[in-house]
Amino acid sequence: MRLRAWLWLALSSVAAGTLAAGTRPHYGGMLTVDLSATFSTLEPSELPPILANLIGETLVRINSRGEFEPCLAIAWQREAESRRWRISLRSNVTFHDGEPLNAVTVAPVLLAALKKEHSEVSIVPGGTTLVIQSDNPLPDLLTELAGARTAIVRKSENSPLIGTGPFRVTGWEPGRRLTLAAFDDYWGGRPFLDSAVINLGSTRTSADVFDVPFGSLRRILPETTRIWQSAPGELLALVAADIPPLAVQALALAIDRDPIVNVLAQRRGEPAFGLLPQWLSGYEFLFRAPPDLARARQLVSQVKLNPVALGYAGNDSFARALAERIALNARDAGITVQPTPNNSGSLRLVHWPLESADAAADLVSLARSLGLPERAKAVDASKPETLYEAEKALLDSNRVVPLAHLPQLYALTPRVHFREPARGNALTLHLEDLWVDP
Amino acid sequence: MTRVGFALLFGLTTLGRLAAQPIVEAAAPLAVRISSRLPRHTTVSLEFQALTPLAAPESSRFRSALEQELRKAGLDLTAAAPPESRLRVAVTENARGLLFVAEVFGKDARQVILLPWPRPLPGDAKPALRLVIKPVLEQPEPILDLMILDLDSQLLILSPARITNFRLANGKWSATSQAFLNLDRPAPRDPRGRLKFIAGALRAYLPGTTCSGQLKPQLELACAPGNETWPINPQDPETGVRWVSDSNVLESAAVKGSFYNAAQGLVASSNDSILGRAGVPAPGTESWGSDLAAIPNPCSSGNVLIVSLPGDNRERDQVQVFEMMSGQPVARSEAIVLPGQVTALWPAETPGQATLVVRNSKTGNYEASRLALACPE
Amino acid sequence: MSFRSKVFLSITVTVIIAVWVVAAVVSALVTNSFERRETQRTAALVAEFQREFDRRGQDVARRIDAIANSDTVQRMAVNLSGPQPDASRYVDEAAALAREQSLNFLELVSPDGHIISSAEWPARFGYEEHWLLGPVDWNAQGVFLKREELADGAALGLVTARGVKAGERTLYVAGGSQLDQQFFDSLPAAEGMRVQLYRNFESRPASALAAALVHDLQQQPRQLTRTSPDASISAIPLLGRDKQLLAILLVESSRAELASLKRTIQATAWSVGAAGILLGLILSFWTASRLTRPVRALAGSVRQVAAGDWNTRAAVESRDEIGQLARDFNHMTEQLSEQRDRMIQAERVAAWRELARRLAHELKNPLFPLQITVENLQRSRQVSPEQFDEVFRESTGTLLAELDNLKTIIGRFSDFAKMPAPHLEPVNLNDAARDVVKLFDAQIHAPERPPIEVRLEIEQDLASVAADPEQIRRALRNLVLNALDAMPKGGTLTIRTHNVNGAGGNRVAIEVSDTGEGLTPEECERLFTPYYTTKQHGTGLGLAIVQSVVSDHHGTISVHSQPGHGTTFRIELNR
Repeated sequence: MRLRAWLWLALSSVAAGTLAAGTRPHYGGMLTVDLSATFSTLEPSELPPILANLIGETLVRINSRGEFEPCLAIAWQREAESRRWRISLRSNVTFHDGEPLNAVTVAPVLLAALKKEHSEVSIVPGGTTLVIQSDNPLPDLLTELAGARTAIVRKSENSPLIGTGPFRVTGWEPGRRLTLAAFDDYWGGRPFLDSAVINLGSTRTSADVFDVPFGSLRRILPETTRIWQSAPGELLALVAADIPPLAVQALALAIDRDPIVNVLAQRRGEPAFGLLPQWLSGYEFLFRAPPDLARARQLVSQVKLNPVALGYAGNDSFARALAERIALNARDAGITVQPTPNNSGSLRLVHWPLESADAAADLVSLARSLGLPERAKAVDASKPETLYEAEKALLDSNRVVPLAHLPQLYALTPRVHFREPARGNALTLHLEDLWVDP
Repeated sequence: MTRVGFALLFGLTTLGRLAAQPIVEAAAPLAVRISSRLPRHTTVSLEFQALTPLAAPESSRFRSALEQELRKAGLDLTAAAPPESRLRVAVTENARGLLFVAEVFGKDARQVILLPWPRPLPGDAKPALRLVIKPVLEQPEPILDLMILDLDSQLLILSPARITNFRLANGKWSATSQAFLNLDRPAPRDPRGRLKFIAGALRAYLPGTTCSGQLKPQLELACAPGNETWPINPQDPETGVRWVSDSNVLESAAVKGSFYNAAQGLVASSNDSILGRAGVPAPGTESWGSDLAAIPNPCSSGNVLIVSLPGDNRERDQVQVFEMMSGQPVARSEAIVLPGQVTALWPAETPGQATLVVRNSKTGNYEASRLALACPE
Repeated sequence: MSFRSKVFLSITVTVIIAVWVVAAVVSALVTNSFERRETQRTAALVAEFQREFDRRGQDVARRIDAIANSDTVQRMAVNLSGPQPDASRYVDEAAALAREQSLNFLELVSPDGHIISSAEWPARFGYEEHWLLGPVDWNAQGVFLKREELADGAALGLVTARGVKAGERTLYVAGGSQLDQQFFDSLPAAEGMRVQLYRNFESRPASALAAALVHDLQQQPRQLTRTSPDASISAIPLLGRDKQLLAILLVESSRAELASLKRTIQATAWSVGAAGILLGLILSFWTASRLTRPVRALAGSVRQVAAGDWNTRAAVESRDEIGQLARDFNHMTEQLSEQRDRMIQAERVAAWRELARRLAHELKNPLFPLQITVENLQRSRQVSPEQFDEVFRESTGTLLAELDNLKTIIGRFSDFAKMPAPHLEPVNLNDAARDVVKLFDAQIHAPERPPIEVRLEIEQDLASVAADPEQIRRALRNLVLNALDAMPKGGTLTIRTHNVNGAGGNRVAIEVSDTGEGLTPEECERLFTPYYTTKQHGTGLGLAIVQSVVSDHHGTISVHSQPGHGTTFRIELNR
């Protein structure tokens, strides 16, 4: 489960007059959610963002400023050059089955998760404190503890997943339906909703909440539906392999991002010239450059280039339209790009959801995905220049061409309301903060 | 019993952030970093742009300060062309706050300097008409209620899990102590609470828990489960209300059904309508939100109601002053758009003021303010 | 060329020319008729094309009008005429509208000329279509041809455009149907005709004729026709709205029938020609037998005479000119034969006279001393008997010497008369030359003799010859002797040997040169005549012997001389 940190919400159309004027949430009611994606496991790291943290929670969270804030842990201390961490657990927290959260119940779950990356790590539980020790330094432990991989969850005979989150699992049909009920003893306050039914692999528009994939943006929605839009936190980019660097530069100069965002993405999102969005890094505007076909053609004339295959997910109509548009822009620069709906090729259209508002962690993750981890070695979120240099180095590798930063889109019927969650500064569409009209 | 907790690491950090610096103070460090990239007496041209909204005076003040600091650092500014170097400075923002971006253009290269800067506190909101909003404090943790005491030099903030005591020093509130609330039940999802001095004792009323304690010699509180009643309005001490456990609504023997708030005989019921004493929806209140507070009208006798209103996009609420005239609400001020949703609206301990807490939809912080009324000139 | 051949040739040529002329005329007439018919059919097809083109165009216009007037487009125009229009939500509209109206191309274009939605190439939104802008009333325009860009290439379309006004702004609807080969395949074409559409942005047609036509039309669009033996192609240019060449209608008519007809004509011409040639052959043979046979017979007789058979007589078989020629020939050979006999006789007499003369000359010298010596003996016996013994001794010595001399002379003549056949063996002429030089060394370097330089210019790799070494040396001795005799005041004697035509040649040459007075051409001619000599003494047989030796060795001997420049004798022998 990945944490999302949005800075702003935008509601695109409001059906005024049909809403009650009350400003306080109601308790009670059931929410139906239709998601076009499907998944067959309740592993927290596999859940889509809207379901993240509903069932299982992590020790820490990253807020919208990219800072670590308490969740199941309320305090932490770094010792011995990050070889030892002392974590204080929140008290009065129980699992869905009533078992209390303490160091003894947390340690085995956490150790199993941490061991996958750090074979030498050990955890010494003690009351409400965990001591995590390692022979090698763990400078980025907090980032890991904020990741869905280290969510504190268990399985049992009666439930496929037990956690400490605001909802507990009452029904699970893998790949089809997840049924949740409010956890009355949730430490952060019982959710407003009594229950929620999540339908998977659904493209209907009749649920209280349903996601709006970009391929269906122009689908006709019920008139009273509002669109909730997160901050643009997903990088849409072209990843190049075995293509001459000059050709990649030419491609970057030839692609006109504005029509992609304004037309194909229906003005949802922003053109991307950097890997991190402007709202996260603050300096993305430094990478902006208008399309320059003359320069692109000049670069192409200096290389011998065969037709390039551009792979995209064949079942995604947005990806197909985008691939065709890119092929057209490339043609104007003298590059032959052939879209192929099989997700393979020298060029690939990829979606990279940013994991959190921690710009440094996001850049490191992107660098790893590109196979260039060394270019993001010295990043420090508190020093924006290190971020800038690392991002510039990644862009200069000519392996990736950013296209757009896109938001998550959900449609909400008028009976659904929400306000920002009381805890922390996370700004996601949290089901636990939604309420419905009685 | 009372527990005085030690400041938590994240808490101090949170509190420390409250001491934001004005943007103009960024000019000096930025100039130092820019000048370190250029030889002394280099002639530069300066271009400045604000990529994040700044008030025009603030923007021009920063630019002037930057020019001054650059000259102090030994650079020659010129508007004539061509200069030896071009300097382009932009103020933008990222997730952590403001970011000053300086680009130094030389012959063939461009150097980039990035200076992060904390986001300043919101300036005094200009009063819309008569309603004056005076910011008090901002913090990431919910603010349920506040009290300003001791000739405005002491501030008590009620949060879901503690009460924090602040002292005013050099124009800024600094935390001096805090008392943790021993809650038997987790705070409800929409946490609410009320801070009151009853018979000289400090009392905190929360859903499912009531705390009682003292302020002097030091802040101490003892909490016990239970919902005691408390007067919701100073003007109406007989109407006692109490919280419903695990919930964000109130109940009262004098009111049918649960409600969010009540003032001057009007009740913001939990079915999102404003009811009169008879339990009948009060006409003219259909657009009102769930919070209302009555304060004396400074310009005439009687009270007025400060009411929260839902904004057009449900993201930013509004407050407006109404006066009940013959059972009908009459607007007495313009509606002021707030930077987020109202989470608390209470009559203040200071007569003629109300406590307003708004959750800023952009920053996520809880901004506590005092509302007051000014008479038309 | 024989007479028979000439006759045959003249008859053949006459027949061929006649047949060819006739065939050409017939062929031209047939071709002309065929081409007229082709032209008529092509014109009919083009007219049909034009009608179908117009009909299709009206259909396109009607559909575009329907789209322009549809609620969807009208609403779109109104929405887009607002202050901040959002065209992005219409990006998929064109495809749906085009499907409804069964059009291949449809674009919705904003008032500023940017594509809002494209059915044929959805990714082209935002691109410019400025051809729609300008002072053109599209609602009054008809259809026209246009090149349409597609993602996988280009196509030709029959298109039109309409403007949909909303306030001050106009939304443009442009679209049509694809003009492809299917359209042309539907045109009724006569048998043997084929209609093909060439789009002026494709690679050239495979057929060379069509390619040439396309090239010419691209230079200047106009209707053209080209023919080849197999086909005739008419090219009609199809122009766009701005009169640019967009496509070419190629109407191909097969010329198979014409070709077949021409082949028939040709075959007939060949047959007739062959028959004529056969006739010519027969005639030539008959003529020849009448004319050339007696002439050949006469020619044969002439050759026999030339070969030496002077008694050959030509047969006289007719009374015509050929017969007369034979008679005259016979008479001529008779006369020549008699003359030859007379000449031989005379040469024999002259040769005998010459021989007698030489003999008399040679013998006279030794005989005179003989006579004197005998007379001395007689006198001495009578007059001085006491000196008779001494006189007898001296006289008998003189008598014996002269008798030897006589024997020598007679021996030479005898030798010349009966020179034996050569006994062949490999002989190296270089060795023979060296031997001969050594033999004459003493004579050459005799003190009283004027200085004579001897040069031996021999080729080291001289091939051997099959020869009689003795006879060869004899011949060489005679030549050297003659050369020495030709240089009484001294000079240079040069003996040269070399392979004739290099080492690969089959003859070897040896030359003997002197630097004497040389010979006149007349003397050169008579040089090898036996008993001919320029020397005051000698039998004159030396060169004759040389010639005989050379002749017996199947070689050749030649002389080269100029008065005052010496003489060179060259003998060539086979290897």
